Amino acid sequence: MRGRLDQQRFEALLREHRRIVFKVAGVYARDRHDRDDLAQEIAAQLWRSFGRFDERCAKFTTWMYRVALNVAISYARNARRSGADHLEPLDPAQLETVAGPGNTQHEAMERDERIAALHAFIARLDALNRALVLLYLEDRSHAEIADVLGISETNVATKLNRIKHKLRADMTAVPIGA
Amino acid sequence: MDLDDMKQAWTEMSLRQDGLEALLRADLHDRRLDRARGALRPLWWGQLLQLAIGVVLAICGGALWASHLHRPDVLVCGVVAHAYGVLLIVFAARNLYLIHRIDYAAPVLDIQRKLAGLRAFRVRVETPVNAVVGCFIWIPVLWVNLALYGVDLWSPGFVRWGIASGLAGLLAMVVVVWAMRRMGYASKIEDQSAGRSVRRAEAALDEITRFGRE
Repeated sequence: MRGRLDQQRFEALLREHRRIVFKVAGVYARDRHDRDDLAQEIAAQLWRSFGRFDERCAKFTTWMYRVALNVAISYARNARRSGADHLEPLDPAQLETVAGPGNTQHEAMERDERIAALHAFIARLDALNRALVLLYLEDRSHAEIADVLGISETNVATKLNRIKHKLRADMTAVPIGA
Repeated sequence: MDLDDMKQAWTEMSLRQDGLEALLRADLHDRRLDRARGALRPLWWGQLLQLAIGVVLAICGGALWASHLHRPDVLVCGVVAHAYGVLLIVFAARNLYLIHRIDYAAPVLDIQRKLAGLRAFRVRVETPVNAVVGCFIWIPVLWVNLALYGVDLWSPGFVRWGIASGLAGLLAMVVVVWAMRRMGYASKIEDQSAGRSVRRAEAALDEITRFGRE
């Protein structure tokens, strides 16, 4: 039985980094109900694994990304097996844009286009590349991405470059908003 | 538009967190985290049940053949039951060991490879073996019971009856599969049996291998 101190420490860390749970759940879940389920499952797995967390071995955020992504990828694969063959991340109903007060209509449209392109882009990725892109979008270093995913830093750089090229090619072929 | 523009879009949006905040708060306050279902929990309990059945079958089968060395009919049935029990134990023990080894805090690729390997073994080896053996294992069990009540299992009539029962079991399975296909459950059957599940498990393994190599 784990102590109350452990639980309090866990709760504090989870509150501090809860954004990670929400972002990962938002990227891998198909709808709002799925997202809630997934967020709950990630939180539960984080708590189960917390006993083995050693801050000398990994940063808390690195550890958290690993657990959250492992749970989310397994969840997405199970969802596919149970009938949904495609992943539909980032349901627009789950999102809200950070609308600055000074935004003009033109700026708002541009922003919406970018977000729509982001949705379409993530939807085309498989589960593992989705994890890679999520970590990149979260501004994680190549070293941390490599650590979370279990591949080399060179491999991270190569994959990101490849994704960038593919994205550029796709965008040239089909202009966003066209 | 490139990946850096995507990064800008990512920072420009935020997930609606109201519902999620409440969800996490409720979980933490109710301390339900330990009880929340884990993806592998049903598999874990299923394997424990299989292990228990295997142990019972192996003990009964072993005790039976060991105490009936002079009765070839009972001896054979006891050995078959014993072997099937051991098979169930080996499969369950292997799966429990693999599940136990899965540490979600390990790098994503390692864990996904382990999970895909576990699933691939289950759909490629375990399910077909259990399906085939399970269709016939009731025959030696029934024979043992009858033999212990004094029925002569080697009488021609009884052997014919045994073979006919086995074939009837096989035929019944074919009829059930055919009927379910007719009723529109074809895809479900394929998914449960080797075909689609194996393809998916292999596709997942391929995807992981490719991702690690590139």
